[in-house]
Amino acid sequence: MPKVELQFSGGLESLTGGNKVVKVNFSGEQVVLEKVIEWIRTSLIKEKHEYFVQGEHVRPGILVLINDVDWELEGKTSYVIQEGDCITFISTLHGG
Amino acid sequence: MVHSCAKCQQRATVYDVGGSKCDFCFQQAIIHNFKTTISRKGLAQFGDSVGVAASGGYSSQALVDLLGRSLFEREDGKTSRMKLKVTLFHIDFESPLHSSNSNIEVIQSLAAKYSFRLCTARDNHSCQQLWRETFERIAWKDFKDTSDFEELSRILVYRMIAFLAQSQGCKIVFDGLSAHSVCRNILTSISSGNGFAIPFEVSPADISGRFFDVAIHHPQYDITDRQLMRYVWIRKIDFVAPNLTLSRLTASVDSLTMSFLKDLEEQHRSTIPNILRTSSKVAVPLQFSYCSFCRVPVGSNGKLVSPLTWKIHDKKDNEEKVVTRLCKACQHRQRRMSMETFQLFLSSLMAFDKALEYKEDYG
Repeated sequence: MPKVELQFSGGLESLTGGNKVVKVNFSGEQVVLEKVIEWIRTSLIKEKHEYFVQGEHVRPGILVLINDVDWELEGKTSYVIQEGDCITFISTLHGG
Repeated sequence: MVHSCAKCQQRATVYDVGGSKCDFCFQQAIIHNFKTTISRKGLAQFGDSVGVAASGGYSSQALVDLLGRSLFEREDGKTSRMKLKVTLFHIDFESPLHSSNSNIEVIQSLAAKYSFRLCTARDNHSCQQLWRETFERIAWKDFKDTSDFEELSRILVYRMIAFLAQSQGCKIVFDGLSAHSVCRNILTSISSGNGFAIPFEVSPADISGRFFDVAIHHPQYDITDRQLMRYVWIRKIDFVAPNLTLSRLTASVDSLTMSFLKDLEEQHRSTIPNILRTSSKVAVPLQFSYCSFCRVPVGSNGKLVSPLTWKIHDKKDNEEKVVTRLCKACQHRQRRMSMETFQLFLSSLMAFDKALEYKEDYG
């Protein structure tokens, strides 16, 4: 049951009730990032889902980091989360 | 599988165009891009007084940090040869779109790190007067969607930035427009009938003269949103983020266009470079004037509207008939607002422009 830390930034924290950091225990042995994203979409974000996902995929324009490494270098949605991992979601949809 | 940095073979952490990189090499690449743009495009010269439009968002925070590092650091440890006097300019009026108080703290913190001066609009009488005459007086119910809020904010903010810069002796201002923002502006110019503005939108140097003596350049014009956010994240720089619960992705042309760009880029990685490269081939027109409302360069498709009678702000309080020209986008904007609101904005903006042109106070 890996326990991971989810971080939200770039405005996404406003969709998680203002929580920039959420710590979650996921049940199961081989939990892939796709399942984490599904959980966030269905259980954590209550409104404006379109800012986070597009269908079943993370919306283009959202950076996903796994322990501060771009998820493209870690297998994207097929990455198997480990105990203590930090998954970060950052929206770049609104410039500054 | 562990990926290696394309430059130093250390472990790669950033997935980037041109090869994945480690944190250090990625930062060096961004700084190099930034400094090269400033020098090759002639955005500033040694000893210039430069302003920075600092909103507190990740893009302008990256700009401040890049400028600070460019001025104080060099890879070989020697003192940087770039010497500029930098002042940050921040518009800190509250509007329905922005919360102003938290913005200033993140900017102040970064300004202090590099000993940059910070100048705010609230401290400037002319900017205050313009704000009072426009945003504080308009009836928000007159606006049909958030596009107009955002665009009017931008129209006002850029003028105020130019005014603040001029008041502090800066003829050059850097803004944090990223490659994505430049492409969005190009596409929205096309879709709103302002294709004439493309060569001005794509140029990193302000070649329009739209703000008279003050030029607003875009030194980050070919750095993407992703790269800027990644840079800010690696450097652990604070920035102000929007409250997404208050906005809608489909609410404005700008946000729809940005969303379209990012969707397209997901499938076609070269979308942004292609738009920039193609747009840069459009020739800069030799003759043009300016939209009286938004100051975008216009050619023959800028409609001449009826002469507008308004009082100029001089000691004799004379009335003057002026002929105003509107770009296509502002013509559409005029139709979406009440005439009273539009004229209120237009007369205030034109009077402010006059003060900016002749370096006078406004109000």
